[in-house]
Amino acid sequence: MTEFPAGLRVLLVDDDPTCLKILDRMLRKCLYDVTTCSRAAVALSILREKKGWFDLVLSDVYMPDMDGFKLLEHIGLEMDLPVIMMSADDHKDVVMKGVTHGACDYIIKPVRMESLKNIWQHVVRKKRNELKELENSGSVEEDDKHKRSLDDGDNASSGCVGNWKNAKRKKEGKDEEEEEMVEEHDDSSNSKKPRVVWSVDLHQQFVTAVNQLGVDKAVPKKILELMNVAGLTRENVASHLQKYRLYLRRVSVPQHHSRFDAHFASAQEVTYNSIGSVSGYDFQALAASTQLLPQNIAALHSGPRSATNTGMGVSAIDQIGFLSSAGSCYPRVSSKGATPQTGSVKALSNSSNLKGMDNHVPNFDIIGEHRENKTQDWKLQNVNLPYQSGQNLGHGQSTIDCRSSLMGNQDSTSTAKNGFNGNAGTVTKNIISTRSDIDMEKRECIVQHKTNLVENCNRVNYDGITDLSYQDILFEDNIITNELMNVVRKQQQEGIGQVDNEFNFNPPV
Amino acid sequence: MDRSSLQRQLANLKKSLFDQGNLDEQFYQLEELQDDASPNFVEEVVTLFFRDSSRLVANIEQAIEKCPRDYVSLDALVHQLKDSASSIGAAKMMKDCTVFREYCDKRNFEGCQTLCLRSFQKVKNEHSTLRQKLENYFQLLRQVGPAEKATRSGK
Repeated sequence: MTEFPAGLRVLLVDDDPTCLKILDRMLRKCLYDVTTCSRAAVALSILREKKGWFDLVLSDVYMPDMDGFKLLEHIGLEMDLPVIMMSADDHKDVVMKGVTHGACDYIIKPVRMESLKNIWQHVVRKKRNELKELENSGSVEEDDKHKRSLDDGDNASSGCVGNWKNAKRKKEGKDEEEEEMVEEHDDSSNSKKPRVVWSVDLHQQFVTAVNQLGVDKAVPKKILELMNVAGLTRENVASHLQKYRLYLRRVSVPQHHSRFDAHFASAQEVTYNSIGSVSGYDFQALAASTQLLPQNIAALHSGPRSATNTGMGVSAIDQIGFLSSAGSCYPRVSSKGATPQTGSVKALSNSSNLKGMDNHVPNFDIIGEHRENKTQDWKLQNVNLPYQSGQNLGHGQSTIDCRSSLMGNQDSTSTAKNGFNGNAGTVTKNIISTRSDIDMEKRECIVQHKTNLVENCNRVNYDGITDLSYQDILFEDNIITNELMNVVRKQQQEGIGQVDNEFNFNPPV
Repeated sequence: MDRSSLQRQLANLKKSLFDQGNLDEQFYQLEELQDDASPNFVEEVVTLFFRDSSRLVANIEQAIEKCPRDYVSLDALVHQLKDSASSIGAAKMMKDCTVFREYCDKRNFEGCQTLCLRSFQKVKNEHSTLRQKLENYFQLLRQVGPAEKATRSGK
């Protein structure tokens, strides 16, 4: 906000040419960036065309082609910009109308310079409120779970939805269904899709329901009923079911883990992952989600598991465990509790879209400066690199790369700071967004992986595989962060620097 | 005429405009907006105002003649005129518009069209008067030259 109030981009709408000229001049004197138009219809089209460009709209109430209040409504619905109404009419009911239609302020004409000087406060206020919402909802699940972070495993039941998207959604005032499969998270923060994060527990419930009904016979509606999770929609279940089925098909190799199902989520994305054959797990998914490079994963994995094709010899479980434990190792991560935010992951994905996300910037430091998460620090490019270097996203291996890049990006904790509010979902999103240049599918996979990863991690913990307790790990973020940390650490320790080499990896610690 | 005499004249003219209520402090706001980047801002705005308001006045006149019952449209037009006048600080005009608007009320209009018309006439008159006065003012201003700026704010 350093440029405020100078440079504030105002759209001025007034049909009276005299007023328009005067106001324009006044606004320019305030050093605002003014665009004028005398017709409401034109104003709307300008706003639509240049979405996101304007900070504020200043509009007259009485206009020949469209009532100022109508314009106000349109703007509120479509762009959600602060709008200030103006009129010589100071009747209470007119002013009230402005309030009810959502105007930020109402200025009585004739307008004085002083009144205009402070209009920037409305922009700031709005942004602050939005950010706050994001922060709050970052860990808030739509179905009222708050603070995923620090949550003990309980939050899993609702499927830790709270991705920050929710926050955004809230801001936008949407009450749409709360949970949906986390689709690819495009980098734009304008995405309004609600997301559902299939946590380990949630997935478990799903699997139980499916098994009860019979995999082949299970239908979303019945599954939903059996699961009986508030906020979950049939669509959520349907898409999850689809993925699950794909996963089952793909995983024809008997898994050594009974968690096969559990890791389904992670496996889903394994689709493109050749790793799928490895323990089949989620490791890959994990890897994918955490964007760990296979090598890294191997590094991570202390176990001897021979890395199969991907070199990820680590069973998912192990990985998860590892990750979980890693999480605990990582002081920052756990200490934060609130969302250690897989910041790293997020950072990766986020960089580009962190902006939108706003809080996902993964921070290694788990600094709660969400705002900081302007991922800008994170060079997405880095993130993508690994992918491009041949690892399909599908292979989750990219995770490490991403991570590395993350690391690289953040050579200072600042990146870490970006505080991802951490929800795994977010991270995923971040990842996704990072991948903007990666095709959607991959992204989705990543997301899935991430989700899986989280789930797996949870599961692992859940089973006591790791020494980390749920509490220690922020549900989603922690896991990711932990994983990342682990990977990073491992890399460092084991001298595996493939991934990181290119990224000046610096452990966040 | 020597400069100081012109300056005095200018100051007086301005003072009378304010004293007689033709203009109010909004006019000062306009003056404040004038600077090196926009040296003739006030005059430009005023010119613009009169051009636009003349059109409005004509429209109102037409509306009264053709559709005296269309109070809604009439009211809207007068409101527009008032808005415009307020932006340059044409105080008297604003007042006249307000009065006229009250007369535009259906009841009043029907009840006493004469009164309403008379009220509108006032608006029209003020419009012309103000225009004339301001034209003189700007003419004088031009004669006196930019140095006059300092004394212009002879409040």
